[in-house]
Amino acid sequence: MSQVKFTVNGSERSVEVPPMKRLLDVLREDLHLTGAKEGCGEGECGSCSVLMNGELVNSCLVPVLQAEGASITTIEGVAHLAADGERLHPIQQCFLEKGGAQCGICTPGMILATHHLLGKYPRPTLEQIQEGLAGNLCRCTGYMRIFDAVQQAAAEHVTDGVAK
Amino acid sequence: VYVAEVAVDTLTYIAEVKDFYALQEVGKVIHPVLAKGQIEGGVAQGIGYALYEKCVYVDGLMRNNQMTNYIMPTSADLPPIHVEFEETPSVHGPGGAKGIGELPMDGPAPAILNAIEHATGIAFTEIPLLPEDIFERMTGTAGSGSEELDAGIDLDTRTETTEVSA
Repeated sequence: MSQVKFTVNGSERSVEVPPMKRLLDVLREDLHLTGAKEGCGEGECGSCSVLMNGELVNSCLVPVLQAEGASITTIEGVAHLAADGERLHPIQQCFLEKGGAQCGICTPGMILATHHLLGKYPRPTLEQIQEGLAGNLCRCTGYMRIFDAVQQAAAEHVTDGVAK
Repeated sequence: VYVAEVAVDTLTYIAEVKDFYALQEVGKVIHPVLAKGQIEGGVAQGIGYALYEKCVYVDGLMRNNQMTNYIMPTSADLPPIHVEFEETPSVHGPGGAKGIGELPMDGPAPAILNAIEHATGIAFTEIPLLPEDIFERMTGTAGSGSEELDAGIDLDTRTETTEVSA
């Protein structure tokens, strides 16, 4: 067991865990942030995507040791905290309006991948969207609604506002 | 009704769907956005079914049981999918609706194989149709298709032959 400290969704967290425990399991089991999903567990499907120091990572491939001192954003940290309670991030709102989510397993990862993509390309072309989301597999939507959602989010200038 | 526009690369023998149209009869459409999403998703699965998703079984176990070697379409692999509805309210469904989820799984593979036949002049009758299968038929190189990759079959045949000759 070792102590690992990092920032999750803006708050300092310290966990006492085996150092090689996967970041995904620490988030889900120790911190009870169950938004990141385990799909394949081998870095192929992207459903466990989180942002680590602004980079999109598959949390199933990150030993928690590597997250020491890092700043992590999960899907739980994407929504805005407003005075009148929690409000959806515009990317989430666009996914909702455009039907970008069906069963929902890929959705947390897709939204974080979209956030990362829009940070890199505020006005992405369709090719950039396709390329940028190619690491996140979706079985239900056929991706078309997701592209629509990303394009709408880009049109609304939603590149900032996520807790880093 | 499904219409696929397919390009077959004569160097790599990869067949790629360039454009896809689906006309679907679903009774009464209750939620247009989600209904279209269902059809698009089903077509995407149908394209995977037709061109990518091969299960390789050895001794009853699936040998390619990882996303690395069981290939499903990613966002970069799919063509634009255009969906139109033909609405004929069903007398049996709530508000005239019908089931929708599985419908679009059936049509894409035949549409794609017909398009490949149109392009190559060869009638393929098996799915998933991988590049090695197209290579096998277009070049007349027997034994190079993806069926031959099934190590289980190869192994059994070889063992039998050895026993007979011994």
